[in-house]
Amino acid sequence: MIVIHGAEVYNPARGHAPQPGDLWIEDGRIITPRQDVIPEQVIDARGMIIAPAGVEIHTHVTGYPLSLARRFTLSEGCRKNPLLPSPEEAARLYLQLGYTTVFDAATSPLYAFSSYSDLRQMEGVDRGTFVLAGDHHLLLQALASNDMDYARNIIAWLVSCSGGYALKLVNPGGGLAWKNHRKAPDLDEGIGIGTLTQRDVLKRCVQAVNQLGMPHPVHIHAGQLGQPGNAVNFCNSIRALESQRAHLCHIQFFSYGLDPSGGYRSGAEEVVRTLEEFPQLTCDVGQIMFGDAMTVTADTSALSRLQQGLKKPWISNQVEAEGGNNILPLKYAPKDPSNAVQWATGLELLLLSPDPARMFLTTDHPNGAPFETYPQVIELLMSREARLEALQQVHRAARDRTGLAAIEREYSLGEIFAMTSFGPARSLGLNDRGHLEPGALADIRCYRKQADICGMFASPEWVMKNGRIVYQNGRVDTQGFGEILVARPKWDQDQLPHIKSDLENRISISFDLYALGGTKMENTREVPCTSTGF
Amino acid sequence: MAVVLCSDLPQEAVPAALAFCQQHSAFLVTDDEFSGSILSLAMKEAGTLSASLGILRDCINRVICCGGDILQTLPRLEKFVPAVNAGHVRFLEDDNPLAALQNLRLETGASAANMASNLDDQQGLVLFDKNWLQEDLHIAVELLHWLADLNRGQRWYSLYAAPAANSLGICNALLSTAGCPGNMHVSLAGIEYDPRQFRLHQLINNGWVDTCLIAGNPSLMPAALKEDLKKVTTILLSPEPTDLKPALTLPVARAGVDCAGTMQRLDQVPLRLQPLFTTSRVPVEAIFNSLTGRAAV
Ligand SMILES: [Zn+2]
Repeated sequence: MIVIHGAEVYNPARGHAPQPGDLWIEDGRIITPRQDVIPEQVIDARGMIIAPAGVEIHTHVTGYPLSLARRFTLSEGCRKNPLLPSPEEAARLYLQLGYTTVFDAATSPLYAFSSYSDLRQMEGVDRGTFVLAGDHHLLLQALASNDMDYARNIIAWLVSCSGGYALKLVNPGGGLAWKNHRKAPDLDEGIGIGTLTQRDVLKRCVQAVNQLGMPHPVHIHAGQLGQPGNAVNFCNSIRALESQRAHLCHIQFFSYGLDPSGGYRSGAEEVVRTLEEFPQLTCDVGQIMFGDAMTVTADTSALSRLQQGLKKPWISNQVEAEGGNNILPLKYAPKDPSNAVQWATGLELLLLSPDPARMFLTTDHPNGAPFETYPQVIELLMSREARLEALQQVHRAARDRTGLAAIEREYSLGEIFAMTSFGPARSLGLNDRGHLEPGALADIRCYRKQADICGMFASPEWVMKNGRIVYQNGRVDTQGFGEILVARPKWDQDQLPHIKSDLENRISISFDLYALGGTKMENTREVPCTSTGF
Repeated sequence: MAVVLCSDLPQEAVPAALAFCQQHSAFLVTDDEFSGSILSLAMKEAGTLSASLGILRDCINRVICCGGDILQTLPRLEKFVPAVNAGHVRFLEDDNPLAALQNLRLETGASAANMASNLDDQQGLVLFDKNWLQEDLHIAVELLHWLADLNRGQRWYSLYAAPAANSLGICNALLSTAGCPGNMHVSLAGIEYDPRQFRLHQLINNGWVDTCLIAGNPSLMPAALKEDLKKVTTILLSPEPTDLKPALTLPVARAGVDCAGTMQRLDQVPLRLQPLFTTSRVPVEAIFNSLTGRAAV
């Protein structure tokens, strides 16, 4: 038994205020404090802040697209690249930031084995990946014929055979359109299979996944990413979900109004207002920070549009019956009016959103910024002074075309922990973490209380995983910790021949080798699906 | 010491070799620098558009082969790109590929505007290998620039005909775990990358290494480099005999024959190979792991 003594304890399950009292741990989990025993170890945490470890809901650190992206960072000399750390480094860096659970946002089934190989390297953290299917021919066909039974079976089979945790949709139908030289479909436009529209895909997939009872609902990257004026389409996409449970990712990239000049202005207010109507939705922000970034996305339509504008080399790999792997290096500049508005819009979304347990901090690493910039974003959220100072350094469009300057709200520490631990854990269906109630995993971060917010969040005093300290004094100990989290929704085995014959008509690989090719994954933990029937 | 990873190995060899190199502060190179550093640097410079074989099968109606003999090295390609069968193939057989590509770029630039129409029935494939590009970075960059030019008005994918079974798999696994595709020095202090200096013949001739651990069959290694290897002690971990005369040979299992392993297809789709039968041979990664473990004790 371990007791953490004397700290200010933040348990987001009990609100945002800190609680006094000791935290008891046994066998890697939090337990109810005991009066009758003397603990083996007491950790003196006076002057410290204790909170549940961070939970990353959307990052890109594994898989084939990252090996493509690393070509853009090749240069002579020592390699230390915060944008594209190796999977092993990424796990260590996340631990050093106080995160013990990390979800990579995308693998396509055809390249699932590359993702799995990388996930295996991420010792020290619990981790998983989401399976892309928004351009999967089999799924789209089933949805087009409104055969929901078959669609559910395909989703369950795809997620299982790819070793994934959730279903991810990226601008559904957009990849298919690009391959056929069409522009990405609008929400109510046919995507080229029967009368199926993007609205249908969103609505029916969300329904199917919720019926399967998967721990995380559909993880949605909507249409029109990065386009000025896209907030209208995004709000319509939110409404298209018809009050079902879902997660919307990196919504900063979808929250733009249209400035009379044709450029960006913030659409944050409209988006937050719309989100407020649907309490079953969660979001992550995809904050941009100034400096180098690397766009890594399955959204070929959006990236080819950006690439044509920037006229810079990109690496694009199109995948049969699925989406694509697309890479484009970027730099976000503070004096660029568009970038300044994007930066301010992300902060505005976070600051306007009343419930931090529904709107999470991400940078869509490495698309918006490296995840190592989280402490800087947290400082901007917690200090209006820091924000106003930062606003002085960026193009005036950030003041003129967003509402950021007028926002007085400052996040409390409790709200930060709700936003980075409790909320994402709950959205991911991981009830054993993100809080400090008895029974929760003893995944804990400890900070020394100080005025320097950024410094405090950048260097925890220590980090605990399953009741053992894995990071302290600059040393990370990852050995033997962390599992690959998977979901294996039930599907009808009798459908397999049907799936097999449909798929073999579309792909160039034998069915037995598709996705993980039947490889038995090691070191996994299945998070149960709780289907309540169809 | 230098460790040479050969292109017939499965990608599982890579993390084990890296850990070994880190422990011994060793150089890590591949037997196929073109598929690794040179092509990667060309992609960094000019980008590329590629597609998995199923897309090429279903969509491609024109093919440009860079080099006359490239199709002979890919006998099964016709199965995946029916356009090859249908005779919609044009060969670039110029002895001066750089000049040929520069001319093509001029032509393409002039006609890009005209080509913008009628996209639907025009999807092409540029097929290339390292021979025609003379293993030269500048020529490779020019080829990829031309591909980008073509893509202003039409849709052209590229397909690199890698010279060995898993050239690209080893390159991608190195990029994923080490951040660069070979030509590196690995130590506890970190990884240093130098595609000009950290090449095997340089390492040997500069006297920076006295031992070479060659993993796999170095079938792509040029004859001159094999001569260089005579100047140092070589240890070979190979599934089959080679024309090298190493000081020590440890036979290892072959992925897909007597052990499992992951290799990448022509389009870099990972394929998980299962063993056909069991033998006493161990996979190369197991040897690296035990060498690393022994030194740690
Ligand atoms: Zn993302």
